[in-house]
Amino acid sequence: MHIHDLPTELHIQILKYLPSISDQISISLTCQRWQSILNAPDFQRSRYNFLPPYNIGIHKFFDDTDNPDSSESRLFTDQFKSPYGHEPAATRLGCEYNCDTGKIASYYYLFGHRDNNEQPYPGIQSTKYNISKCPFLDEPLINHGVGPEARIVSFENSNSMVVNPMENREISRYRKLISQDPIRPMTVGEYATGDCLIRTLRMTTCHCECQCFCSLLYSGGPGSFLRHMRYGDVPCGSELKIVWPANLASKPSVNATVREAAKAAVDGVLIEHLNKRDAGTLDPGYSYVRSFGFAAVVTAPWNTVYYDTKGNKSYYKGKRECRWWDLEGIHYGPWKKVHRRLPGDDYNIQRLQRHEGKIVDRMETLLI
Amino acid sequence: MSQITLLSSDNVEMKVDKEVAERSILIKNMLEDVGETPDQAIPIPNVNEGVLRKVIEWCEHHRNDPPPPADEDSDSRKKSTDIEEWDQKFMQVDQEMLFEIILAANYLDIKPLLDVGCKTVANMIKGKSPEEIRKTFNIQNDFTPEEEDQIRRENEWAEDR
Repeated sequence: MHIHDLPTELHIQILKYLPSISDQISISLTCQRWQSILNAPDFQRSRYNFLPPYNIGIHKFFDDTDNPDSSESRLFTDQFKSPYGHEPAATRLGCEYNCDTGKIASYYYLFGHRDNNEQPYPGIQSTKYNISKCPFLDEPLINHGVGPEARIVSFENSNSMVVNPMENREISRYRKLISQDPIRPMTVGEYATGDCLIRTLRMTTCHCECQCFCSLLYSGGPGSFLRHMRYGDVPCGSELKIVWPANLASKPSVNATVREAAKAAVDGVLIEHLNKRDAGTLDPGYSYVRSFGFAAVVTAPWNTVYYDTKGNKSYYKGKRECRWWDLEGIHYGPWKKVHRRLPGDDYNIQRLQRHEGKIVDRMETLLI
Repeated sequence: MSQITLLSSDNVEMKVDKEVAERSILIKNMLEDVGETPDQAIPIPNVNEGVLRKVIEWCEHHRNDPPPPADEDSDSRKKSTDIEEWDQKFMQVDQEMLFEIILAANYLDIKPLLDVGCKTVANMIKGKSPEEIRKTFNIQNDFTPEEEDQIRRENEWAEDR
């Protein structure tokens, strides 16, 4: 009797005992039957860690650190992180590309397995495995739709409307995106601190004429009031930096974990630039707001590999960098004209507090 | 202690305590339907003698276990693949027998035994690369080169845009 003589329902039962992403990758590349089993929605859901209370799923490719079922991730968290001091999950998925053409040559995944004989860090044995054919690469990195009751709600003045975050069919395929444009220019933004301003971002570098801020709200469940999301576990004044999908290249973001970046993105600290050609139609004295669903994803830091002129493989020794990719399927609302506010730096916390913070529930455009 | 007789697929009769046989929900329901201890052997058409003996051995050892919780389905993914020591030893059989036990446990509706069997297989997969898994279970690599081409074509399409 062969394992494939078992009925599919039993295969499913067996594979359900293997929720860790590294095992799932292996299984998906073993045979077609298992690959199709792992494509089922239940299994797909199991490949996301959900951020409470948002119910935003982050693919375990990038966020496998707090999965209690995965002994490997604990291994990386406990031992791999401290000696080297970087995000454990970030060492997992990587790509190799040709520096001349910018084309991805392959994707790899670092599998960790325990080897108790090895010193001084017992248990760290990582194997680099080419996973270019793994179908999970096509799954969205950040998934709103799979958690219960997850939906994005945007405010346009008093009328609330539901913005479908991303239709599954509209989600770009990761592989395509990366082969399209491996290094996308971006600029850096960072959080302002303070209770009311917590959703507001300040650009550190922007040569654009205007900035827009957006805030997205989540419904707390059936029948409940819409409520603000808070960065409960991000302390004020932390040096969290978030990448921005700006058109202008500055420097890439550093130090932001995917989890942090995703939170920021979901909470609406994404930026949208008004095109310069639109500027002529803007009325002076007014600001323009625009809501949008979800705009982009951030990857974990990549270990950049390149080939020199002799064809030898080399690694960039510097810091690992987060990369940002825009996704298709962004749901933009129409531009709306609102009264212009004071210049951005005069953001008046007390005034906002009088409004119970409601003013930041709208996306604000500051015409500078 | 009343005993009943089971008849394996290869026509071997086995006497077991009713309590032990009732670890199988299938047999338990069957006996409840009949209403009294039957005189005739109960046929188990899908399970041969060797496997049935193994299954009965497991049921004997676990005859006093409390019944499994009713809603075990929801947390099945959360459950670890830890297996208690006796069960681990019990499952040290060749793959043929392992899969037979899993099939029999499924057919006879002995959920805890089925879980142990599935966990055992899962542990054989855990931490292995695709090649190692294929080697372990003698699985053919059925990914064709055409599929690789497919992926490449999709990438080309993206690059052209």
